[in-house]
Amino acid sequence: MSLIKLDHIVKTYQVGHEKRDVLKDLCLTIKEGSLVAIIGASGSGKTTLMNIIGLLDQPTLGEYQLRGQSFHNLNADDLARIRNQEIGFVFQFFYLLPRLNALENVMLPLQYQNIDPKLAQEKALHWLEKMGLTHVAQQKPQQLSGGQQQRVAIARALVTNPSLILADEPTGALDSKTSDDILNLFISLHAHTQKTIIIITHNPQIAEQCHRIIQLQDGEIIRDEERQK
Amino acid sequence: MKWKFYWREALNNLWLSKLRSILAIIGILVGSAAVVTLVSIGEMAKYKALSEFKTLGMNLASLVVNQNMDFNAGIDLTRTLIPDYNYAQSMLTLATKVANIQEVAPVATLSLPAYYAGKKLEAPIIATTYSYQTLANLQIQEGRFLHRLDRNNYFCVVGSDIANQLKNNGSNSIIGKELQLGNAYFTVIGSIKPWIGNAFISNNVNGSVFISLAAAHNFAPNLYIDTTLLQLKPDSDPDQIETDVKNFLAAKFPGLEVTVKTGKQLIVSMTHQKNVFTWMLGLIGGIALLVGGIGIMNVMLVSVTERRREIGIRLAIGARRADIQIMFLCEAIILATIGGVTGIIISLFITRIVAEFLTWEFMFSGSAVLIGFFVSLFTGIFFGIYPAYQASKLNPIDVLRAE
Ligand SMILES: Nc1ncnc2c1ncn2[C@@H]1O[C@H](COP(=O)(O)OP(=O)(O)OP(=O)(O)O)[C@@H](O)[C@H]1O
Ligand SMILES: [Mg+2]
Repeated sequence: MSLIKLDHIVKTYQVGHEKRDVLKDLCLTIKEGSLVAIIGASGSGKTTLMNIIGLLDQPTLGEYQLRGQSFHNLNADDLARIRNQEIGFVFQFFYLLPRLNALENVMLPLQYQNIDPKLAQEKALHWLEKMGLTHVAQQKPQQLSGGQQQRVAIARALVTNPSLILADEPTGALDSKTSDDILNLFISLHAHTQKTIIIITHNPQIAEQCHRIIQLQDGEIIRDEERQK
Repeated sequence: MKWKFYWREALNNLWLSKLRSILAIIGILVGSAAVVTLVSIGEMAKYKALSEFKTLGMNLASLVVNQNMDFNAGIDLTRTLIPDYNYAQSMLTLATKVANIQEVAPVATLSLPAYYAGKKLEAPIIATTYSYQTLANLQIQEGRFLHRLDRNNYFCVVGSDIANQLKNNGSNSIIGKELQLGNAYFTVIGSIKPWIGNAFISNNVNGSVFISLAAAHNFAPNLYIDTTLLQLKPDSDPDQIETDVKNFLAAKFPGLEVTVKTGKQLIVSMTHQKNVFTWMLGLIGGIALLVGGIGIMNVMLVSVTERRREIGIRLAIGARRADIQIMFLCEAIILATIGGVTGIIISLFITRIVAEFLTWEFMFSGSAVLIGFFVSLFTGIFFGIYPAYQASKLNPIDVLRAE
């Protein structure tokens, strides 16, 4: 079954007087449980695509369905709820809240679900442990290394047990050794949970490790390659 | 679960930007202190006025005459200086001539030098009748007040301050001591307990020496009746009495301008003053709170701008707009509550000092505290709404892209 279905998606941005199609009539389906890499030059529309898939943005034209559901009639709060429950985001610059410690950062998505604080803390600690971060649970982000921060962010993305993980250049701010660690983390996560994971990257070597590589250029898919592993 | 998070996060955020929080708190604090102080002072003033009316008795009136001295008409000034013996006598007949007047006490103040045992006393001499005791509600400390039968006797009664001065010079009892007033000797027959005052009577009772009007006329024939105090019968119509008194005096002394001040008029003017007072206080308190509220709004808006990315992240990972609004409103409520409560405490001290200063009875009313608290809280929420709304309107992809 396809988890994600994009049907003739167009995204137009108005820049000054000029209109620019950042995504041009894009069609794409992604099966549940895939590990997908999206590559492409800077400005090719990768983040724009991810924002649409992640329900942070709406297409100008075309239809997007997640698990067969479309979103025209949903308001901002409904979309927030779906993001909260279905999607885990990992960003290039981690986007942890600097005022909260690692544990509190991981608990944050659960804060927006009405669940028992004890249970929330348990879940957060569970994921911190999986990320090998139990010992830094009480530390603030600025006390952590980049790799640690990104792992906290990954724990935060996973703590609500979403079916879809969207990672926008998750290794973009890390050195190559740490990048490999983070990538392996995604790969083993995928192997263990069969979650759908979409990784946006500039790095071809990272893309090689994924099951499917989609390449964008100027808002169009110029390559879509399934790889058997 | 959510609420615990909200409050903890709000406190945490405020703590992490202490300076800004303190500025916002000061704004509300000033407003709250102003409102609570003003309401408290208003209450104390009301209480003071009420208790004054109680001691005053609602049935008092005072009567003052001004002579219309028309120089062009060539009136004989010596004849128009009426407030002399005749005038005083006429006043004394008021009780029988005008219906509903119970007691009359003409009051003349003489500024004659007063001596006791060769030492000068700084004491005005009040010449009046025995009725003054009832009208002014004087309590006797020792001896007695002037009596109807004293008339021409050279007797005097002293206020509490004068009594103390006489005691300083020796013995315990002051009865029978001799005071020299002008060039006559008066025997002290009594003293008055400390007197608290009365809106109708401007005499400094505690520092005065009282003698009978008849005796005063003997050695100060040109004394001038400043005021005549009247006691009206209960349930009489003060306006009617005023007209009657004016008619009576107009017939006897044409050209006199008579002013009658009744308790009723006093109440009317006091309530009027009080209304003006209340409005002014309300205005001042309102302005102070407005300033405080704008302070909160400012601080919150800066905070929203600084935390755009945080807001974007929260929205991206599933915060609803309401969650963001509540987060900022919680901060505003905490600031307003701290400011409000501190303001109330400060106003407690201010009110104390003001009461001390005005020698009013200190009161800190629960209603002032409640008004101060809820008005602060309301201000915080009201002025927090706009920044909270601004924050919740942010678009996560815009703020995250701007990085
Ligand atoms: N809100 C916006 N308003 C105007 N133009 C935008 C907006 N968002 C994106 N764009 C433009 O759309 C194009 C695609 O942007 P996008 O961020 O999707 O690229 P990308 O592939 O993620 O690039 P990078 O690898 O640098 O992250 C860019 O040219 C960008 O300037
Ligand atoms: Mg991008």
